[in-house]
Order: sequence, then C-alpha cells, then structure tokens
Amino acid sequence: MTERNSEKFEKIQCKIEKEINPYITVKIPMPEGVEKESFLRLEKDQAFAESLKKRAKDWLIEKQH
Amino acid sequence: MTIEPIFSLLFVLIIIILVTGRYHRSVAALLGALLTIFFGLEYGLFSEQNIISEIISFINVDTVLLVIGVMILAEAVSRTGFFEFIGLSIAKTVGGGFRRISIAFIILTILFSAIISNVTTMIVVGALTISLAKKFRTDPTQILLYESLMANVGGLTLMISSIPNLIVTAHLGIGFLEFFVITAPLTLLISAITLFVIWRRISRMYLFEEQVDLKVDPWSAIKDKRLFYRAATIFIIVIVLFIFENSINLPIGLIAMGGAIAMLILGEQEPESIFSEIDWGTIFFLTAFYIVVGGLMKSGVIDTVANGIVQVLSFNHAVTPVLNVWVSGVPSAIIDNIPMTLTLIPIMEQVSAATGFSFKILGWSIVFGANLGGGLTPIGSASNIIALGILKKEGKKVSWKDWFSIFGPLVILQLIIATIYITILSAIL
Repeated sequence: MTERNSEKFEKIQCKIEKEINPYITVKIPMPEGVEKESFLRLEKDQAFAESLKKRAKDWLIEKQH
Repeated sequence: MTIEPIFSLLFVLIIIILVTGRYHRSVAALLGALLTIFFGLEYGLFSEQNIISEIISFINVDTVLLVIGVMILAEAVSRTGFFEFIGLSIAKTVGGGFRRISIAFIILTILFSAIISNVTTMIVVGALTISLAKKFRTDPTQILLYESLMANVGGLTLMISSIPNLIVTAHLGIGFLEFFVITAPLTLLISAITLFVIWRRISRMYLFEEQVDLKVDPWSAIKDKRLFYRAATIFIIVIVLFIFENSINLPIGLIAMGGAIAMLILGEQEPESIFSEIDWGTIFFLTAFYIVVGGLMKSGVIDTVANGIVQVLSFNHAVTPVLNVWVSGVPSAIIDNIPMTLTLIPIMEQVSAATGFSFKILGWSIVFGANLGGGLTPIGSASNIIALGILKKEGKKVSWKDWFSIFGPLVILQLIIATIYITILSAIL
C-alpha cells in the first residue's frame, strides 16, 4: 500500500472508529515530581487506560449531579 | 535489425519492468513511450515534422478524459463522507452478529467498486470492517480478503467501474447502457455463486458469534449535508447523462469532465486538494502505454501477432473469445490489466478483421478476463494490495500460499463461469 493510500485509510478509519468504538485523545502534561521515562510509558499502559476510562465515567456522573 | 524485433523487445522490456516492480508503472510506461518515439524516428516510422500529432493520435483522448473526470467526481463525492454513511447505515440496519454484517459488507464492496475505484472501495470498506471486527472482538482477516476479491467482481458491472472497461468500450463504441445489459447478468451470477461459497466458509468460521447492539449514527460521517446532497445530485446527473449519451450526442469523456468541473465549482472544496488526491500515476501510465501500443501497431508487431493467432486457431475461430478470457485473465494476476487490455484490443481487432468473428465478443472476453484474473494473486489488483496493506497494519500477514488456497479455486470458478457466459454470448449476439 502506498504512503498516500495508507494516510487516506488512517484518516477514514479514525472517523469510523470514533463512531463505532468511540474514544478520545487527551494530552496530559507531565506532573512535577515524576520520572520522565515512567511517565511516558503510561501512554502504552493498558491498566492506566482502563483506570482513566473509569475515571472518565465517574467524572461524567459527578458532573450530571 | 528490422523494426519489428526492436519494438517487440521494447515491449518485452517494459513488461519485465512492470512485473518486477523495479520502477513505478508510470515510469516504465513513460520510458517505453520515449523509446518508442526514439526508435520510431530512427527507423523512419514517424515523420519529424508531424511527430507530435502522430503521437497524440495514438492516445484515446476520450478515455483519458473519462478516467480523469470519473476520478475527480468519485474523489469529491467520497470527501462528503457518502460512502462511510452508506457503510454505517448498512451496519446499523443489518445489525446482529459479525457474520451477517460481513456478508452485507462483501455485497457493499461489489456495489461500491462498480462506481468508484477499487482502491477507494477497499479503503472505506476495510476501515469499516476493521472497526466492526474490534467491536465484535473477532478476526477480520478472511472477511477483508473476500471483500478484496469481490471488488474485482464489482469492477465488471459498469463501464466506469474499471479502466480496462473504459479502454474496451471507447475502442468498440459500446455505450453505458449496453455495457450494463451485457455485464450485469454475469456480475450477478458470479456474485451469487461466490457469495454462496463465502457464506458457507464464514458460517464455519463464526459458529458462536457475539451479538452486539450497534449504536451508530450514520449521519456523523457527513460533515456538510448541503455539500453531500449537492455532490450526490451531480454524480446522479452524470450517470443519467452516461445512460443517455447516444441521445445527447456528446463524447462520454466530455460528460465526465463536465460533471467534474461542476463538482469543482459547486462542491465548495479546494480544487488543489482534490487534484492532489487524483491518481496521476495511472493517468500517465495509461497515456504513455497508448503510445507504446501505437508503436507496436505502426511497426507491424500487432499484425504479426494477430496473423499468428488466426493461423494457430484456424481449426476453429470460435474458441478465440474463450481463450481470450484466460489469456487476459491469467496474466492479469501478475501484470497490470491496463497494458494487457491496451495490447489485446488492437490484436483482437486484426483477428476480427481476418476471421470475420465479432470484435465486440472478443472485446467482452477481454473485459471479463482482465477484471476477474486480478483475484488470483496478492499483487493481481489494487484492491488486493490495499487489503493486504490494511492487514499488515493490524499485524497480520497473508502468504501467497494462503492467498492461493483461499482464492485460487474461487477465481478459477469465476473464470469458468465467464467462459461459459462468453460462449453463450457468442451464440446469441
């Protein structure tokens, strides 16, 4: 697959993915007092993503009340 | 050295470059065109005074305009989110398990590839399939591969569905409606039989499938509804004009370009960005290869090959279209089907003139073989390459052996159906 088609696919898939399996991308700045390497590793940490997912739900419920 | 062997060698050289994929196909064809002009001048095939007009006369401008016009139209329509909208609507309507949605998407692939390129079809349907497979927590590999196979079948449906169709119809003067009347029964037959086989295979794969309630809003794919309606209207008008091309007496290439210009004016999209998405490589390739074939015709190579075919098949010329399905089909699994079609058309014209056999029947046999043969190998068609590219992104690899074991028997079955169909057509027309 050429680079151009690959980019086209990613663009369309991103749009469809958001509709079928909704997700958000949030930029979290590194908090003070943490090690940079450990912080960057969180990006691929499934357990961390799960905890954020739960936090997002709690946050939305909290906001509704 | 006489001129015929030189042009034959030149043709073989270009085919070798295309097969090896060492350079982009457009570069290979442009090199071929350049060498054709050089040797043509050197051996007095072209006159120095009229070289430009002679070269341009080899190119079928109507076909080139039609290809550009259809590409611009399809790009403008796909930018509105129309195809994602249809896909999401179908997923929502069909619902239930992944098996049902997969079959619906395979059918959708046939319909999409009838009106847009196989590349865009596979990108849209592939993205939908991957996302839904994640939702259903299942493996999309086989479904994606079946979709790529059926994109080739969809390429048979309309005159605008694939470039070989455009080349043949332009050369034979076949209209939009005539094309559809001849190819639609074959597309339906091949689709029905192949879908039956796929359904049986899929049923074994997804015995216990998860049922998921899909909560999707298809309209989310449409960014601007006004633009969406406008683009869809222009596209429909162009198709209607294609159908009535004989009554309005306009070259089909001009109709396509007119639609494309209307889309650029009314589509409210930056023309530069639409132009940047057009497959210029294919346009250069097509145009340059017309020159290569023009050189073959003028040097007498085409006549020699055609005479050879007439002599070899002198026992029964009625087998020519049957052989043609396979001669254009099997090499299309390795070589691009555009040069195959461009070369076979003038050869068949000569064969028809020498034997009195219907040129149209020979043309139809090229259309059937060139479209279907691509399914035989992973590199046989653009849809196969896109499907494998998507799977690679998902970390899945499909070997040539796997490919052939899944598709070999199916594609051979499709070519056999096309062979029977062309035999019936020869008897009727």
